[in-house]
Amino acid sequence: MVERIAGVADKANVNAVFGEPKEVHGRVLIPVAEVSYGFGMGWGSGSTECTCEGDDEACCSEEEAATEACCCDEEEGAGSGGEGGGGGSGARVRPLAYIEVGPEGAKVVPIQDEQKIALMGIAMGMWCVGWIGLVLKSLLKK
Amino acid sequence: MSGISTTTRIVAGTPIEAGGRRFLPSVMVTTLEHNTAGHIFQVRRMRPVSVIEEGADIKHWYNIPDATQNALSQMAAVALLVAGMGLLILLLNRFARR
Repeated sequence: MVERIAGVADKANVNAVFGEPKEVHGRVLIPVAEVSYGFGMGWGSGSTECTCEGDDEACCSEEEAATEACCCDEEEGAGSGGEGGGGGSGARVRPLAYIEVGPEGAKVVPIQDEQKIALMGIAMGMWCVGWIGLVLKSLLKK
Repeated sequence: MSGISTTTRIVAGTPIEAGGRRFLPSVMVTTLEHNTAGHIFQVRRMRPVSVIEEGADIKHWYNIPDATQNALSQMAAVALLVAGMGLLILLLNRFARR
């Protein structure tokens, strides 16, 4: 799994930010993007210890101590344990611009995320309307 | 949280040949990582900074803007300004009524 994750990291290297040049209608375009990736993993192990404390009074009584269900049963309880682990990874590529190379020279053309800007614009409009309403209400109050 | 390290550095990418020109890209790499027994994580963000065009006798430097982030930052600044102005008017109005 570690090798797999390391593979993701290698692929998303610095050169992934600038894409392969493509020729479109006599012009060469180089895509430019912001690349982010992350991975994480964790693992651990534990053992079950026999404790006769708390709610399970029956377990702690002498009569029940030898039953199979009792946590104090040495054969069932002691020495058992477990281990496990897990992990995950993800990557994101966000287009920022493209470099257009033509006979007259090169230029950088920015790319805007219209959806994000529109959502922010709506939120900002509501924010401004709220503040203006609050101020007007305060000013007109007698 | 202890054990988390953050590093930022500017890295030069592999030169790109396009349209008879040579471009030298540079990228800002920000790394956030944590590595201890039992758990490990790493987050890396690579943002293009600029491109230098190298010709036979010329050298051009092109900045790569984050147009979306710039627009969002401007809107956030306007929102803060509106809130600040509104708060100021409310306070002045309160003092004027006393």
